[in-house]
Amino acid sequence: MRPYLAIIKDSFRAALASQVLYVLLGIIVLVLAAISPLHIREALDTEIQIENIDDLSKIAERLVERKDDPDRPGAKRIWDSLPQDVQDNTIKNLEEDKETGEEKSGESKSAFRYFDLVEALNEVITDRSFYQEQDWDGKLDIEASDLTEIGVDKLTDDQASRLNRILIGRELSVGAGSQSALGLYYAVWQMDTIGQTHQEFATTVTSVLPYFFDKFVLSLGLLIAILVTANIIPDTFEPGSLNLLLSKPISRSGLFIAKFIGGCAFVALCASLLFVGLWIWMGFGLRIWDRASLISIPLYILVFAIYYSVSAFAGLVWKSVILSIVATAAFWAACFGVGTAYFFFNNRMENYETVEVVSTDQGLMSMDVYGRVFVMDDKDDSWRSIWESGMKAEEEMALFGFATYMVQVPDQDKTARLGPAFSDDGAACFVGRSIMTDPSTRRSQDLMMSDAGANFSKIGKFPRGALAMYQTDLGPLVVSDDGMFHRLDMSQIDMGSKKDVEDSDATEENDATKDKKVARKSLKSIPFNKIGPDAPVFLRSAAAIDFNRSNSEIAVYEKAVLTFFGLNDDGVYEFKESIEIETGARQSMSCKVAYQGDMVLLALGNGELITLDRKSMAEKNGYLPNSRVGVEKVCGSPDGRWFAVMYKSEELWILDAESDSKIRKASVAGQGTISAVNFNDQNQLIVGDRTDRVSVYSLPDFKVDDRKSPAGIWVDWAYRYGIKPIYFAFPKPSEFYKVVPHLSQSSDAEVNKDVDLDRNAIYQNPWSPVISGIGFMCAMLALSCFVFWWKDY
Amino acid sequence: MSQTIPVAAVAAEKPVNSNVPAIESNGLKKTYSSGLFGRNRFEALKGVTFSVQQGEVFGLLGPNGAGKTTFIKTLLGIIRKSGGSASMMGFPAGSRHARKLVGYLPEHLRISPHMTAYTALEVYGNLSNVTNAVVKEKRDELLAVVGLTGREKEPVKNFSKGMLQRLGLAQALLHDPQLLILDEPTDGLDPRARAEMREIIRGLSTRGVTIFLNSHLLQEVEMICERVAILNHGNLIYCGEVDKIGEVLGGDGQARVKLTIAGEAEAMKRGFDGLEFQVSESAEPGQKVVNVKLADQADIDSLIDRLRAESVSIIGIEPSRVSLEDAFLELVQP
Repeated sequence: MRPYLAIIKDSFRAALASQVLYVLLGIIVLVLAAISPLHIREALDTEIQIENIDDLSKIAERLVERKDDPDRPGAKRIWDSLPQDVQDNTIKNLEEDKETGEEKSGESKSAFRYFDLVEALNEVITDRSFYQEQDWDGKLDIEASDLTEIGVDKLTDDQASRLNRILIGRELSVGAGSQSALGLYYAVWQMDTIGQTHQEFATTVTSVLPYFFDKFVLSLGLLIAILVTANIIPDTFEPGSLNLLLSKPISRSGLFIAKFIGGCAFVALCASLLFVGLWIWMGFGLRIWDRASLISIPLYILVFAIYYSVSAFAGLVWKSVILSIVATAAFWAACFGVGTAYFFFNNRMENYETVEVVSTDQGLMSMDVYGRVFVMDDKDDSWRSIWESGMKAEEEMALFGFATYMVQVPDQDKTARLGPAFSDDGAACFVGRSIMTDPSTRRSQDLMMSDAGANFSKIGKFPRGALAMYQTDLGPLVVSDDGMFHRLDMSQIDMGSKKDVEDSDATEENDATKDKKVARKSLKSIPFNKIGPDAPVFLRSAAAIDFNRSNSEIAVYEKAVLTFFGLNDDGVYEFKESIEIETGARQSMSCKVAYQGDMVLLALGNGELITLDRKSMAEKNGYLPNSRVGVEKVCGSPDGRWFAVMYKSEELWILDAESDSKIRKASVAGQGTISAVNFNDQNQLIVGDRTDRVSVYSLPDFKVDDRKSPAGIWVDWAYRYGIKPIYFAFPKPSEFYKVVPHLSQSSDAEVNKDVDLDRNAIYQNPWSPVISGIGFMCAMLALSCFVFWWKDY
Repeated sequence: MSQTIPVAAVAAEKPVNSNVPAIESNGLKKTYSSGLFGRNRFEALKGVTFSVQQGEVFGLLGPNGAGKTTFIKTLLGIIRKSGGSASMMGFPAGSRHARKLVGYLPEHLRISPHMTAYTALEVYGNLSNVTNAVVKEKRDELLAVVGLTGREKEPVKNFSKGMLQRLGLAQALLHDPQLLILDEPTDGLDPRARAEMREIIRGLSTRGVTIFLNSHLLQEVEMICERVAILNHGNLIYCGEVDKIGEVLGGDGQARVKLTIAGEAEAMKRGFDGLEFQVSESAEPGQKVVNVKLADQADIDSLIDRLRAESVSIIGIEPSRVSLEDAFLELVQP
């Protein structure tokens, strides 16, 4: 080993002798010195954080309602402190909301229009003269009282702002915020208040920083490193140098590898300084002692080594520094090209990805990422779109904008589970379809109804804020975000008569089907009746609800409390029972619920799975199969034996409640591409994978009973058999930023119980860049060693 | 430059059979291929056979393109042979065992500019598997031998070509090689440095190190080497003692005589008629120096008779010595 260590050691000497190295080290030190004064410390919470408010319009509503209330002089004070244009805009927006809300129930209000109100309120908070004792007489809480006792004139600016924040928060019912918040400081100057807990802040930092450094700092650093080290191998091949080396009793492969490792010494020095410096800064400055920074050192040396293996090979073959650099640049371009092609095709395929699949009396139905609903045509195993005739031109335009991300994507949870549901005789099927009607993010939730031939038409609107729709024995049931349940009133639906309908998707239907198509319309715009409960639970997500197909109960999870509602004799839902769940995590942790048979499965945002027995209301088991990836969906079979857990990484796990055994990875095809899962009435597992393929499995042996594989378009084939394999085999040095967050302790639920994995960026196969990179580098080195061994010099 | 070789810096006892030739080449061939699919082929060595015994100072000569460097590179395994066989110290040429026993000073030596004399010796010593402790023990003596005392810690980028050659020689000696292959060791050195290098080589030779010298400087080879091999167009055209190269040239049955004569030009011309001769002016006015090839003593007597008959005065007559350069030029005639 001595000869090879001597070469590596000499490479270190060469790096140290290089003035460029000192320049780079100097730049790194300067960058670290520049960011080192940036730190967080506890500060008074003096701002209303937009992201912490569920509905901004409600602040406006309350303010306008209360400003004229003689019992609320504080509200009047707030209102009077606002600039005139903000007052005018607020009233105008509320009036618009009121109008559109009456006409188009089901639309969600646009939050953006109230941003200026929040900004103006935050301005008011900084006004030291805002507090007038007579406006708040008897309404001060302990913290505010303590501050006023000091004397308003004696308060610091922060304390005065804190007092105003408490007063405004209480008056507008948005809370006073926590007494202390995280303040972001640069030296002694406060730059901002961070509206996150420290754990959330740590998760954000550890996921954002690697991307930032990968794309900005390291890209430049790698470029310089490649330029500086490009001469190492070509220089070795100068005859006077090479002949002497080759005359020594060492192997050529060993000589080349040692030179290669020595070349990496340059980057090793720079990366070590940068990441150790960052680690120390994050530890002391941001109070985040996360190993991810230190792990970045070998990772980014590997990134360099991947590029350098190309540079070294070119230097070996052509013995030219310029050609080495050109070859490395060409390799980068190839990586970029493959990555871009994959990104393009992958995005395109995701547009067609099935996110919901259900078995209905009318065949398999699916829903894609845009809420477009399809019915499986068994004749040719193809998905037929439910496409109502007569869609307005502006709706189609809006859909186009939606598809290209020109406007905000609505919460998919709110579209994904709207049906299908069936009429009690099973002759009609209902689904929800969300479409964009206004590029300013307004949505319309249309209720679609089919005839027996699975031909759908729009019959009305959903109740406002509809989250989920279920098929029940008494007809379709809808749950809205105010916690109310609604049942479709079939008497309000005009069953209509046969009529010619112009079909925009006529090519997919034959004439016979077309003739049978029936146009229907409900007699009132929202053909639903409220059916309880008396004490609704405000809901944030459709995933936190489930309807039990065997006993018709509805389970709702909100802030660590699981509540069950059941039907009374009048067909109305009423409160049955609730239980507080000991999660060990913060109460606001998101959760997904599956409730079938006698078992409830809770999938917390931190990845923990908890099972409960409905009868005894006791927790049964806890699981954490994946501590880094959030759960996308949970569902149970109607008999309550099987529960499916689909992760955001598109992997499926199955829990057998009967055996009460371990949760295990499902033995189904397409793991890693599974985008939809459900159970049918026969307790069979339905899995959607590979964009739009659907398979039906019998449990427990996972026997395939049926499989529908649409032929796909050329993009599908090119993606699946061309781009995707090439991409996975090809090195991906520009994607190493995906690995670092995966190794971060802050985003690991095993270490950090409060982490919300739903917020973690999901990277399919996070180790893929490392594996393909090492594979490529080894192949290049092996090829180089062979050429070096084979060639005469 | 010191002319005393430290004991530690020369070949020590090695478990190598002293009867084994230091270099043995049997029908060694090397063909270079170039162009698309290697269609252009060039034979650099066309079956070279000779051997160098241990302890010899051996010179390898030949014009440019004769195959000298190819031969050395083949011995060291820097290039692959195309046919035949070769060995160094009993081990196959190019094998790691053979290279362990060889010290090599390449032509146009280049040492990375960031190195100092010390670090260069450390690196190249380590490459020959010499420990740092041994390098530290030997380096000052070796640098003294090659005349680099006082420049130990100076970056080699400040070194002249001659200093680099000396450093190259020091690194070649660091691991006590039994065979020293020197490729143009005095190239670029001034006359004084050449003389010092010669002394170092002679000193090494007296200690039992086999020296294999490749040089363009024929006089130098003549002064240092006991035996030489001459390559031309990949063929071995001579291998033997330097002193006997004239005999070989004389093996064609001819004798060489140098005559100093005076007389009429026409008479001289008639006297040498039919003979192969070269005429040059003498330092003495009116006299000419003539080198002439003759078959035997009877021809010499006959020539003298003819010159006398033409009234040409014979001022002096002596046998002519064949120098290595003369032999080389004659042997490698295109």
